[in-house]
Amino acid sequence: MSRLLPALLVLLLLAAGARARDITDHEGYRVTLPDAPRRIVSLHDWTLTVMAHELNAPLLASTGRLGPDGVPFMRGARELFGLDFSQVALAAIFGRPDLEHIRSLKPDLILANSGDNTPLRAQLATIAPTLMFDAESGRPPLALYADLAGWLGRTARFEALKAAYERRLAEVRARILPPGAPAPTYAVMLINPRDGTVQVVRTYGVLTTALDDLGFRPMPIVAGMGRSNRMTISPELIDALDADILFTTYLPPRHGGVEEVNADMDRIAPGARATMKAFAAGRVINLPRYEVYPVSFRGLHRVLEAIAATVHETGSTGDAP
Amino acid sequence: MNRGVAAELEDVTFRYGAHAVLAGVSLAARAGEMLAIIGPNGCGKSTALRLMAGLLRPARGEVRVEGEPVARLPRRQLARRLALLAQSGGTPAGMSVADLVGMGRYAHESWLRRQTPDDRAKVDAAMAAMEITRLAGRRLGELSGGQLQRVRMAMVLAQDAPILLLDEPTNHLDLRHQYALLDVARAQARAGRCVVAVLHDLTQASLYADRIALMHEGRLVAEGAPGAVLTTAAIEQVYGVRTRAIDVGGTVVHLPESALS
Amino acid sequence: MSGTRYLSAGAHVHLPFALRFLAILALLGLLLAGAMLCGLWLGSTDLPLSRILRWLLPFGPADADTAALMQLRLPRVIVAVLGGAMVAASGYLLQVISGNALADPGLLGISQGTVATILLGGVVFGVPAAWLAPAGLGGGLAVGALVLLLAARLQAVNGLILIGLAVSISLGAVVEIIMVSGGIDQFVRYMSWSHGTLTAASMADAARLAGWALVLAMPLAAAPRAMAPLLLGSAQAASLGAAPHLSRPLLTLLAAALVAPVVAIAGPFAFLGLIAAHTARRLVGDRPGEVLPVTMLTGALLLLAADMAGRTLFLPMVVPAGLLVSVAGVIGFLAVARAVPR
Repeated sequence: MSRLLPALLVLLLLAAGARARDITDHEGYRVTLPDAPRRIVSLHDWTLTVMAHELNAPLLASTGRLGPDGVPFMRGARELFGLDFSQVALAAIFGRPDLEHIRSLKPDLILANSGDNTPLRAQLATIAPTLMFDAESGRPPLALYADLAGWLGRTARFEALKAAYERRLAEVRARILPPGAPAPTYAVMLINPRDGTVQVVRTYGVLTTALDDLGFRPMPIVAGMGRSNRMTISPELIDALDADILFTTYLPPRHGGVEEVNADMDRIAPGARATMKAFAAGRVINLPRYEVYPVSFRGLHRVLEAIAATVHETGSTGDAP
Repeated sequence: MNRGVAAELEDVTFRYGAHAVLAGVSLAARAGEMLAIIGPNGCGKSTALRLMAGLLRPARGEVRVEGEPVARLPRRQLARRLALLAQSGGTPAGMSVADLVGMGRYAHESWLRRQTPDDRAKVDAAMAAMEITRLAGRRLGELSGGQLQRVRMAMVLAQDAPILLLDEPTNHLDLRHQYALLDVARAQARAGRCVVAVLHDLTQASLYADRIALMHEGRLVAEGAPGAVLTTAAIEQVYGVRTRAIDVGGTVVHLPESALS
Repeated sequence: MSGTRYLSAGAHVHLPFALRFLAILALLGLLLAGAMLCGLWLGSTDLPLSRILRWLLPFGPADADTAALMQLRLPRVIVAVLGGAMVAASGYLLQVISGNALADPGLLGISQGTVATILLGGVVFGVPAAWLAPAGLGGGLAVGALVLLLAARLQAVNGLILIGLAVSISLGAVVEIIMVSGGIDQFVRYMSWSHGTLTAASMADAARLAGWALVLAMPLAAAPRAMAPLLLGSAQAASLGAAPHLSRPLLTLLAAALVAPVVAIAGPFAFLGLIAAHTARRLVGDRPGEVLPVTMLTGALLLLAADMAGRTLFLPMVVPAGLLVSVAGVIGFLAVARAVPR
C-alpha cells in the first residue's frame, strides 16, 4: 500500500502538467510538490487562508469555525476579504477535522500550521504533499509570508504587494514625520475589562510590523519584558504606557471607536486618561483585531490608513505643545 | 499433649512511631493446643497476632514459626505453615463462595497448576467443616455477615496449615455459629494443629482455650490455664470490672457484679 | 461450580476455566471483529464493503483508492482497539490495587503527568514535536512512580487515592497556568487535544502502540494471579501467601505503562477504565483472570464505538472519542456510585 501512494502522486503531477519541486518546510520536512499547485487546501483560516487568498493562489478549501449561529466562517479572511464558504469549500471545522473529507477534495497541496496541526502531519501527508507553516517561530511576519509565497510559486505577486506597501509606507511616513523630527513612541495595550487588567504586547500581527516600519519607537517597558511577547500589568502602572500614540484592538460584537477604549479605561483606571498624553492629544487608535492580527498586506494598509487619518486630524506627532 | 512450640514471640517490642504497642512480650503457642489471647481494647492482642503472622516486623525481639525466624521465610512458604483469619478484609461481591474458599489454596498453586483434585478435596472438606457446602455457588454479595465469616473461616481451613491464627473469629456470628466456629477451632487443635485466637468473650475463652494469655497495655499480664489466669483480681486489674466467679459444671465463668446486683 | 472445566497436561499443568467466561469471551471477540470491520467501512467517504473485503483478503490486488482511504481508517481502528484495551486494563488494575471501585488512570496522576510533560515540553521548553510523545511517556511513568512512593510513605489504605488526586489536581493547575500565560491560542489547542482524539493516529502510532502492547502482554497475563489475593485486603493477601508489598507497586507500574503510551498518542480517556471494568464484572463476576480479558475487550469495543460515532454522526465536525466516552462515563459513574455501598 505504501508503494501505491507515490505512484498516485506521480500520476496527479503528470495530470497537472507541472514539474515537481522539493521544498523544505518550517518543520524541516522535505516535501515534493507541484510547481504550480492547483488544488490547495488550507487548514488554518487567519494565517494560511488569508495569505494564500491574498496571493491569488488557487485555494480550493479552508478550515472554518462555527459561529454562534452554527454557520462556519473563516476568521480573518472574512473580515479582510469578505471570503466565505460560497467562494471556497469547507475543508474541516477547525480543531475537529474529518481527514476523509479533506481527502475527498483531492487536494494537490495541503497547507497546515505548526502547533494546531503538527500531530496530524503524518496522516495529512498520506493524502497529499503537506507543508507545515510555523507562524510562531519569532521570525518577522513578512519573512514568513515570503516563504509561503515561494512555496506556492507566487513570489512575483508577493513582491508586487510588498512594493505597493512600501510605497504607501513612504508616503505616510513623509506626511506624518517631518524630516528631523524625533520618532514618536507607541504602545499596544489590550484591556480586559472583566478582570480589570491590561496586557502590554511586544509584537501584534501586522500592527507592530507597520509601526516599526514607520520608525515608531516602542515604550521602554517593552524592552524589559525579556523574551515574552505579552505582559499583564496592574492598572496602577498604566503610566508606563504613556506613549505618543496608543493602540488597542477590539473584537466583535464591539464596533471600535475611541469611546469604547475610554469606557474601558474609566472602568479599570479611573482618572488615568487625564494624565496620558495620547488621550489628551486624541491619538488613541482602536483597530479590529481580526484585520490587524493576521499577516496580510491589506491589514498593513489598514494600519497605515488608520495612523494617517488620526495623525492628519490631530496634527503632527512629536512633542505637541 | 505438650508437643513442640509452633509459633512464638520472644521479648518482642513493637512501636507505631514512638508509641510502644507491645513491650517485651514473650509468648509461645504449641502444636495441639488452643491458645486464647484476651485483654481490653488496645491492649496489643491483635498486634501480637499480626506479629506472629509475619505481617508486622518487631522493633526488638524475634518471632519464630516452627523454630525459624519469620523474617527469613518467604510469604509463600510461611503461608503453608501458618494461616490467618484477618479481622476484616475485602469481600469482592461478585466472587463465588467456592472461589473464595479456593483462595486458601493460593500458596499451594502456581500459575499453570491450579485447583488440582487435591486442592479441590481440601476446599470441599473445609466447606463441609464450616457447613457452607450448599452455599458454594452463591456470590459473596448475597451472603449475610455470619455466612461470610464462615466462608472466610473455610478459606483459612482450606489453607491446611499447621498453625491457625484467628483474629476475633466470632465477630458477626450469631450464638449458634459462634460456638460452631469455636468447636471447629478446638477440633483443629485436637487434631494436632496450633490454634491461636484473639477473643473478646471471657466465657468463650474459658470454655475453649487450653491456655489463656491475658494482655494489658502492651504487656503480658498472665499466662496459663484459664482457671489460673482469669481470677477476679486479675480481671479487675486489667478490665476495671468487678466480677463474681461462678462454677458452671466444672468451668469457672465470670459475670460482672454490677449486672448481678 | 457448574460450567467449570479443567485443562490438564501432565503433572504441571492443571488449569480451570469456566464455560460462561469462554462464551462471553467469544461473543465479545466476535462483536469486536464486527466493530472493527465497521470501523474500516464507515466514514464520510462511501465505500462498498466488498472493496474493503478485497483489500483485507489476500486474493488479488486492492484498488489504490481503497488502499489510500484505509491509510486513514486502519490506524484509527488499531489505536482504538489497542488503546481502549490498554486504558481499560489499567483502570481495572488500579481498582484492584487501590481497593476502590471508582479508580481510574486519572486517579494516579498518570494521565495528568503525561499531559503536563507534553505541554511543558512543547510550550515552555520548545521540545521538538517528535520528542513530545516519548517525553510524555516518561513524565507519566515518573508521576505514577512518585505517587506510589509517597503513598508507600503514608501507609494508609486510601493514601494512594488521596495522593494521586492531590498530584493530579496540582498538575492540572500547573497545566492551566501554562496555558493561560501562553495565550488563548495555546489554551484552545490544549483543550482540543486533552479530550482524547484518534484523528491524528497514524500507522507509525499504531505500530508503536502495538509494540507496547506486545511488551506488556506477558506481565498482563501474569497479573491476574497476583491480583486475586489483593481483593481480600493486604493482611489476608499476605497470609494467603501473596506478597502485596511487592505486587502492588509492580502492578501499579504496569498500569502506568499501559496508559502512558495511549495518552501520549491520543490524549487522556477519562472513565473508560471505570465503565469497562464494571461492565466486565457484571458479565463474569470477580475472578481477575476472567475480568481482565473481558475488561480489555469491553474497553476496546467502547473506544472503537465512540470513535466511529464521533466521526460519522456529527459531520462535518468530528467529535473526539474521548468526549463521547466521558459522556457515557459520567452516566456510568453515577450508576456505579449509586450501586457501590458506603
